[in-house]
Amino acid sequence: MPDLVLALSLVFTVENLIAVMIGVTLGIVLGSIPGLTADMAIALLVPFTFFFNPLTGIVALMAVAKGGSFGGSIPAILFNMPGTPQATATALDGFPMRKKGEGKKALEIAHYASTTGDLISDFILLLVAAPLAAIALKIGPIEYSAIILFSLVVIATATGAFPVRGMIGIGIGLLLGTVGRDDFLATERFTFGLLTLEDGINLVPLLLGLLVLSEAFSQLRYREPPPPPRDDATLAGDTSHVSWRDYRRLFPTMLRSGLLGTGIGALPGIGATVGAFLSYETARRMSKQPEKFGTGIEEGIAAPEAGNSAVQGANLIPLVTLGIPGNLVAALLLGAFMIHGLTPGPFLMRDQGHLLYALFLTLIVSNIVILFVGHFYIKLATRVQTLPREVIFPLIVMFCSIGAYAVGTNMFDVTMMFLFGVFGYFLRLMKISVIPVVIAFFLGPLLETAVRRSLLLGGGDLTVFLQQPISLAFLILTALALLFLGYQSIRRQRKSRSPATMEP
Amino acid sequence: MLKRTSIALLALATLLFPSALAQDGFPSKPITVVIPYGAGGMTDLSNRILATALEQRLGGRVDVVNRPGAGGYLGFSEAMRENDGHTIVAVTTDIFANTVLLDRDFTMDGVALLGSYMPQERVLFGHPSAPFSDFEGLIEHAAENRVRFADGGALWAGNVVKAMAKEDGVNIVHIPFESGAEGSAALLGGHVEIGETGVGTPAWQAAKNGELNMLAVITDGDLSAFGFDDVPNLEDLGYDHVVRMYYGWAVSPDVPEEIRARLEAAMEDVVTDPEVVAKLEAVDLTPRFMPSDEYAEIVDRVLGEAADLQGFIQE
Repeated sequence: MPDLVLALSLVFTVENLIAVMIGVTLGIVLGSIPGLTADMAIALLVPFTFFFNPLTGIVALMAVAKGGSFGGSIPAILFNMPGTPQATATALDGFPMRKKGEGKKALEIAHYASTTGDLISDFILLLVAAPLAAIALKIGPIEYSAIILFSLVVIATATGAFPVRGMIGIGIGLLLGTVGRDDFLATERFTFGLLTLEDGINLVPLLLGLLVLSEAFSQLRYREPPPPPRDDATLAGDTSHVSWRDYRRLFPTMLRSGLLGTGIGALPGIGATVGAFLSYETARRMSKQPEKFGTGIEEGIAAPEAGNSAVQGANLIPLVTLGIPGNLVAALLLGAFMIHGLTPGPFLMRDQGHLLYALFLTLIVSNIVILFVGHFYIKLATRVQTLPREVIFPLIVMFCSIGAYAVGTNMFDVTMMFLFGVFGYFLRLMKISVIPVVIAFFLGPLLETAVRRSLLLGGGDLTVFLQQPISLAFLILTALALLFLGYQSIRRQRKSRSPATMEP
Repeated sequence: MLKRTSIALLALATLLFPSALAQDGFPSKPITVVIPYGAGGMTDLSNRILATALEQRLGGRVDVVNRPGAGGYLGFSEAMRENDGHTIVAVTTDIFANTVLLDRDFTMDGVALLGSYMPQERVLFGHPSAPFSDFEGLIEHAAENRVRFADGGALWAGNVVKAMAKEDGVNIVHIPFESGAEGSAALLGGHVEIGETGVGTPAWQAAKNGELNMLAVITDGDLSAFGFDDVPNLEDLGYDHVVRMYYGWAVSPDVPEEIRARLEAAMEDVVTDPEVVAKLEAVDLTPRFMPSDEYAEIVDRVLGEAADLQGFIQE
């Protein structure tokens, strides 16, 4: 407790508040431009944290990450072009809602849900970080295998209007994920002797190509009628907003997603995207009107946004308590901590407890700042809707090229991005959703290593997966999800025999 | 003091003879330090600390750029194509050992080393729930039982432990992990009995705290700098294969001799700068300058040993 009191005196300094303001704004702005990401901003900012005191420097970086998490939902909702994978689930209902002319309300839901999810995970961080981290350590390769398999299947059902096509998408994603040297024997797979492919296909160019460029190509193909809030006059008409009653109604969804996201964030490596999709799917399963998901329903935005934001905050749990970075941002933060001579891990909690509490408290402060900055930014962002596609799309392509280049400062990645853009365009023509492709691409390698490690641990015995209670539970859930998927597709086939209910 | 005087003299010379400086003007543009790994790792961290001091020493801008890929070889091989001396690449002996272990086309003629700025020790840890608490106990136990071993993301270190097990004919199963942090998590969670990582990882911190046992040092050094004098290293224990981990800088062999000499001198100054030393030691890094010829000898030796190691494991 004395740590907490000392921490309070560290939090409210002018530098901290300025750092939070700048960080949050930078994160929201960069996150809202497809192609540019908050991760990129953090990588660029790490060296500058040298010149701040440790708390201010790290808080600034965290503020960027938090701002970016909300910012990413803006292009997902306005253009159906998620610039970050974790905003993909937000687009499922966000974009339909915007097409209905309620873009502003969709953005506001994302904003409030994001902040709520964040706050939930920050409070948990403040209260029970250490015990949670100790539990997370008990999750080993065997449990990981089952959890990842479950996530993969659930996401396929979440996005699959066409289960078979969803499976094809997963297959493509898994195949793309095998490119590169394998982690166990360092054998080259599909690298064509290129050094740039040894570590596999880079995630950023792949997802910018599939999620953003191919969507731009598809939208340009149709001379679709301009969406409702097109000119300033009708924009003024977009008075949709979230009322206090709306918020209260959505709160249970946000709370559930926030808790789910926190749990996933405590496990290193699984990530915000899975958190977003699992929250979305949970919300749908528990909803009284599951068929409305995907048509622009409010819960469909609140759930994934609360879920992915909670993961981001909770990713700090394994970092500060054990020194194990759960994602890229945490890895960058690890560097930032160490530049200041602080080594994250059990010692940090013991020796610098006041500093950690100050960090957690400042995170809560930065959530409040996001609430204000986001409020004004939404007004600005809704104006972007009024710009013609001829202006917006070339800009998006430009920013994507910059983003793809910046990850590894490599032109090869830019080429890859355009190739994936064209590839994604054809997938969309064949009505194969690109989302399972992207998800399988980054879960596939995780699943492969986890399964191979489990088999090594168990001496090649396949039943290891059934002997651990956690993995057994997830395998049963996976089987149930698959059965449900099969049942759905049979029912749909029966329906489609009658011409009146043909699928589009 | 001498350094300050020389900087003052240099400044004066610049004022008096601007053209003279422009002729042999080095650096004539910002220097780039290429980190062939991602941001946040040990190579990245140590070089960012060095770069700030290097800027003051060379009197020009120094940019640190991450160029990850192919286990460090991508950034390395690209930097070898830049030969005006303004591109330095941060290397480790690990990159060179891997050229052998991964059958890459590489010889010592392809690189000019500028020196090494720090060695790093790698340690074999044991989980307290395992029925042994020292190296001898491990070997005795593994002679009868299956012992699961997590590596810390380095192919070379994993292979050294594999070779150790093979020499003794004991049953140690190697389970590869992607990084020291991942390997640490497997070890701390008790999913494996033993694991290997570099100094500074979560496993190392837990071991310092007494939560893991330090069984052996698998590099050629010891842990006396950290107050652990009694952890034996594999070389002392009589094993043929050992990791030699040294961080350093390299440039293309086409960079003129005098520029290489100036960069090497700059590295020596920076690494011995007390402020830099303090910053590195704060996070358990152990700065120690080693001139380029000595470093080249070590790298040359590593190439030979890695070939032996590869042969022994595949035997």
